Amino acid sequence: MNDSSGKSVKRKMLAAREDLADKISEIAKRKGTLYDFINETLQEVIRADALGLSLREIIDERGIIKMAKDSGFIFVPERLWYDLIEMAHQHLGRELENLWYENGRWYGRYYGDIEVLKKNLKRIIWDISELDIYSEGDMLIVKCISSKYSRACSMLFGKFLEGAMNSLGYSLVEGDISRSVINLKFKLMKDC
Amino acid sequence: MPKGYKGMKLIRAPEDLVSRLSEASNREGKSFIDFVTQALEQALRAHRMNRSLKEIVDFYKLIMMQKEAGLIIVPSETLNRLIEMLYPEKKEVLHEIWFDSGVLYGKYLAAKIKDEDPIVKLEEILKVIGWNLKEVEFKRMDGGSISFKCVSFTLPLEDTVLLMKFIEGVMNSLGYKPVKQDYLRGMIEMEFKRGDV
Repeated sequence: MNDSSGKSVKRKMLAAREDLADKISEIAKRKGTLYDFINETLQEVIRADALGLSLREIIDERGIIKMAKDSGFIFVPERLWYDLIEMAHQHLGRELENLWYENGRWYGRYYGDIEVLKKNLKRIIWDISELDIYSEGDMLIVKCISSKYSRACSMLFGKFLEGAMNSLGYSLVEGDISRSVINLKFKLMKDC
Repeated sequence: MPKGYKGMKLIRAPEDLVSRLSEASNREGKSFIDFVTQALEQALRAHRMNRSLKEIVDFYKLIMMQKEAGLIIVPSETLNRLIEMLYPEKKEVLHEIWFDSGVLYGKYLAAKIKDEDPIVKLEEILKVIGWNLKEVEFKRMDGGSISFKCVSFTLPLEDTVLLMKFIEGVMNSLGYKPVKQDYLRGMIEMEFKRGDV
């Protein structure tokens, strides 16, 4: 048996769920042959496996990155970003905090839900090693750790988180921010 | 159809891939049929997204390469505001920071990309890193020079200049020097030649 390039390839039968096989077969007909479609699918499963992931995880990850890009996130060199922040923080401390706070409010509203916000931030903010948001009594605790964050970066990301939580209906009752570590406590706002 | 395969269909597939798939499913402790089912479900999911699985896996690899190269994901509005605030007084410093970041990134590319043309890879990367670039093109010209053009309808002037500095830094690490640079808000045109110019 030959493949599309004319090379001889041994084939084997693969058992697949009937409904899936039918749908795949329908798509494959429009694009080429079922054999080629299955071939491509299996190759990508193996590529994903070599990356230590399943196809589902890779497609999920793509969805998160795409959502982030669509909402205005962009990629920049880490060093450049930190240099900019340090430079700007010396000159525009308060103004910068407002900028982060407002940005956080925007993303809080955009993601619209604490779990979605947490899941997305964990996947896209690559320079944080830990982000946890959980309830403790009637308080909502937000903890974040990044060994890369200076005090200024930590302060600003704290403001971002405060803004995000505010737009999700929580007000800050206590905050402890030091270099690399952010600990915030929120309470649900009464009118929410 | 053999017994125990009710509701299943047989599909022909390359034997070597089936064997590798079987090894992968064993490693993951999943049954082979579940493994195949999940793969086909994801192929359908990709199809609904109008993408091939290859495109999706390629995209993921490219994104992970950015992480490895020391890039992070930040809100563009914040970056733009930072640049806007700092640019009037710190223009030269910013140019230098962007150029240096480009140099570092270029060094990473030069070290990482072995079997492909790093310029082709750079073009792919610029298309996905989210600078709102609608058009990105590197073209190899006669005589060994390379032209670069990019267009964005939303990139502010300051960001355009800084992006140009970044590209200059990357190309510098890949062994190219600029012989022509021209820009307007959201548009960059450059030409590079190899080595010392």
